[in-house]
Amino acid sequence: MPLSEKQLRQAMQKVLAAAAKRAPKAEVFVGLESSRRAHVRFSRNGVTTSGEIDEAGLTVSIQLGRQAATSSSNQTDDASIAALVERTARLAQLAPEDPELMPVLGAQPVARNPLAFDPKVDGLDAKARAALVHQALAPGRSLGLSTAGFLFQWSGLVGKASSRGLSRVHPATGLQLTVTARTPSGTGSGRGQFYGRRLQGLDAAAVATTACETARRSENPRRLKPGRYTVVLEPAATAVLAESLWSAMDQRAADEGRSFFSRGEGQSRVDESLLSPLVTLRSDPTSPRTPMLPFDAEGRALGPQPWITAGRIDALSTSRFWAEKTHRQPVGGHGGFELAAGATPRAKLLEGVRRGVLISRVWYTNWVDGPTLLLTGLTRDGTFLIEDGQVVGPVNNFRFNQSVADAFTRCDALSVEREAANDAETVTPAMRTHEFLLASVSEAI
Amino acid sequence: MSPVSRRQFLTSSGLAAASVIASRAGLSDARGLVLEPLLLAVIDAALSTARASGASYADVRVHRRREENVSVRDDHPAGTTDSERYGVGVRVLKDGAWGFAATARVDALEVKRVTQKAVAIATANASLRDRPIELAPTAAHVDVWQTPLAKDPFKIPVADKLELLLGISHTLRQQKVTAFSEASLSTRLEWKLFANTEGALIEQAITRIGPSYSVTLVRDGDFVSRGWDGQARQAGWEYLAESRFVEDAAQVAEDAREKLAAPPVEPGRRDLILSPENLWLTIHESVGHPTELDRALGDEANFAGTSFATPDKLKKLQYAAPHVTLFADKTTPGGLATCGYDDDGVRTGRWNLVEQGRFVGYQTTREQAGWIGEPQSRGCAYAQDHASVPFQRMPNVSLQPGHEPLGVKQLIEATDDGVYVLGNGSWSIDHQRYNFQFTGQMFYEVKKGKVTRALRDVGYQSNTLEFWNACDLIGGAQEFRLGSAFDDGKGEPAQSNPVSHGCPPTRFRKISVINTRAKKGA
Repeated sequence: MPLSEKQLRQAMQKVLAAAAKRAPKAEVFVGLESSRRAHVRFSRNGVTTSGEIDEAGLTVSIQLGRQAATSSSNQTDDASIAALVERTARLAQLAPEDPELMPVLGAQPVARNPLAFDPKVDGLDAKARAALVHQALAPGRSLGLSTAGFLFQWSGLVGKASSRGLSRVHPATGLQLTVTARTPSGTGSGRGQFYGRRLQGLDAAAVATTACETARRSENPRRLKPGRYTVVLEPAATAVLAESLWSAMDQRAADEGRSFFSRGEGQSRVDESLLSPLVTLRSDPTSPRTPMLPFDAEGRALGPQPWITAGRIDALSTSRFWAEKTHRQPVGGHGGFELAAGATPRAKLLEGVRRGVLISRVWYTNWVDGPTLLLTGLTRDGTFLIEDGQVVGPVNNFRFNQSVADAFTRCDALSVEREAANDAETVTPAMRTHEFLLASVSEAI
Repeated sequence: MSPVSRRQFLTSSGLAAASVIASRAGLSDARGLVLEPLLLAVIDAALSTARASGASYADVRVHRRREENVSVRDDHPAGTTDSERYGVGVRVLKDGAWGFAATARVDALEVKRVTQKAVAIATANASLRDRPIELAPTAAHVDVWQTPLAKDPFKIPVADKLELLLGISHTLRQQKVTAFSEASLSTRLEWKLFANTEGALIEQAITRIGPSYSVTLVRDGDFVSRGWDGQARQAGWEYLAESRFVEDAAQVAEDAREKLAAPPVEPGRRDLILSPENLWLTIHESVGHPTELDRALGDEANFAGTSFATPDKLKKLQYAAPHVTLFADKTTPGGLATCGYDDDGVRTGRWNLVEQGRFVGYQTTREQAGWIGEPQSRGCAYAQDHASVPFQRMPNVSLQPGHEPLGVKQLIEATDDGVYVLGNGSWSIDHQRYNFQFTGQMFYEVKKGKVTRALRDVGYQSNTLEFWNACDLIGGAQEFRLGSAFDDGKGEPAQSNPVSHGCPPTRFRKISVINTRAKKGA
């Protein structure tokens, strides 16, 4: 059974007490999560695997001056806690000094985010999950399409404590339903998805219907040559490009001269207007669209954080060590972000596109060139030709090789509507951009 | 040292008739606890509860996963972590559907509760299947298997590991331009005790070690990285000496300098000579994943995709050139996926996936064998830990060496216009495993049988069938080497699978070579 909040707090205190006894002068950090995770997986219109797991994750970091070590375990009984503390202390004593080690955090401003937890998600049992999957299977079965999907539910407590007085425990939930539908001909594929922290808003049949409709629309694609195209990226595709851009926004790498965000060695491009003025990116744990824990992995309190405003770089992720060394404020620790909505209704993004490509999803992205932020990947689950502002039919999939910086620089429209992706930690609109390199044809459906 | 069976161990040690109760000295000493009454009670609680609940089959895995990571950055340590996860997973087959539940509390009462939960899950989902799951038969093995090793890497002091890494890092940073270096050692132990309602009882201990390092050079607004070509291995500490982990550092540092100064490649169709340290990943993506039967039939459609290699093409499709044979093998010495038994309790083995160019085989589990009319599983079930559902995962998949003792030297001498690629860089493949793109670590122009100069910004892009049918020269067994993926991802919830792929240096004709540096504003 997952730990109660009281049990979780007691376990963290036991760790601190054991560490204080073992190494009285040490600085100690404790992280403890206790959760219940459950899933139902299905394919070919039937359930394949299903499971439920109770799990704990206990992490202990011990610092002896500038010597440090971290250990973790999923065992929270007294004997295991004592063994974990002993092992960590021994490792710390053997470690060479780390000049980048920072002291553990003390008490942080208290904040609760009621949006991060939903008792209705916590209360889903095997029968309730099966009922949701039954709803998700129905459209594919009735339309004669083959559906595959995944229902995932997570609920638990996340705790942080330290020898300097940090003590935080917060509940959280997560819910995901994704469905992929394929046509019997094997030439059409579509996807529907829901990511949230709350049960409200999940319509399993609607998610599956979206997948089925896209699969049917994408059937029998025509051949389109590779080349540079104006593209309209649906929110799920925009999310992947935005996540890639965001992941590259690191202050230290920029200062060290090994980043797109470098301006020579020792300087970064913070405060420069690098991207389209339509691009605004920020994190906010209390946003109803991306509700997250109000603290990060170190226990540091999190508030709203602007990253890019109207194309201008506001900040890059900055560790506490790098912030101290470079006389900045630490920035980061956020789990996700929002790309601000635009002013164009989604249906109007195609207007004015004489010839372009509508991309529903991208897949298997990977960096190819760091200095230019060149990303490769493939389109999937619905790629369509746009002519004279209208979708005229499905086309083959493509491999793209595209600088994400250039894609966000050439962006000239973002949709009013936005969708969640990536465990509800990312929210993005659809995006229109130009000269996007669809480098070669992919035969995959 | 070869794996020792449990029966052999019991006989030779005189323990067979003895009533030995191992003391429960903590998780670190968990290996060998097959005789501990607590664990036998846990197994009994799971299997008897499942039987009493009407399950037609059940298995239970007690699983311990330990991982130690030691890393350095430039001239200082960058983190020492030691993690351990222990618990029990129970899988039941009831009314033709699977149910799975897991817990970190390893005691009989808790496992009884968890088993009842697994039964309830199977019952809830049974009506959502059109036909019941059926398992291919297998023998009920009682055995022990462990990684053959001379020195347990967990027994090597962390301080010694850090000293080794700091020495390498120092060598890497001997540069005239700004240099950053990183080095790390990851050591993993997977201990598991498997039992099922058919009478199997199998204990396995698998040790894997993953060394790595890289250096990044910065100059005039440009930067390049060079990573070591060595690979993770299922082995003991002695692997580090065999792998030239320390000795290669100076060459890697020099390579980085050469790469920074190298001219960019001119795109076009060229012959490719791929080192084993590059080709293994191409094998992984273009042969390993497409021949997973669950993927080919649509079970991964919602995540990693499907496969062009569908069952109707079995024994018909010309996957590769006629002299190409690619085989699956869960017994390859040192392979990360090597073990005695899979997580269905099936004894592992070797078989061909592509034989003399023809597509001939799939990777299967007990559940899947019947899907293509095969009488037995290929032994490919795997779960990353106690809390994960076993499903089909990739065995070691390798390219059979050629009959002639060709080495990279001979391949270069035979090439008029080509590029020789070492190491892994970026990789990507589509969701049916047709279109792929790979880069590498170092690239050399080959002209008229000779290496003429280093190149940079090289990638190659091809289609799986076009690529493998363009293979015309395969090196001999003397240059066959393993490459490895420590954390190959698949499934929902995502699980990681360690796997290796062996091959000699190999040549492919007229493959599309691209320049990977995006032109500014392009």
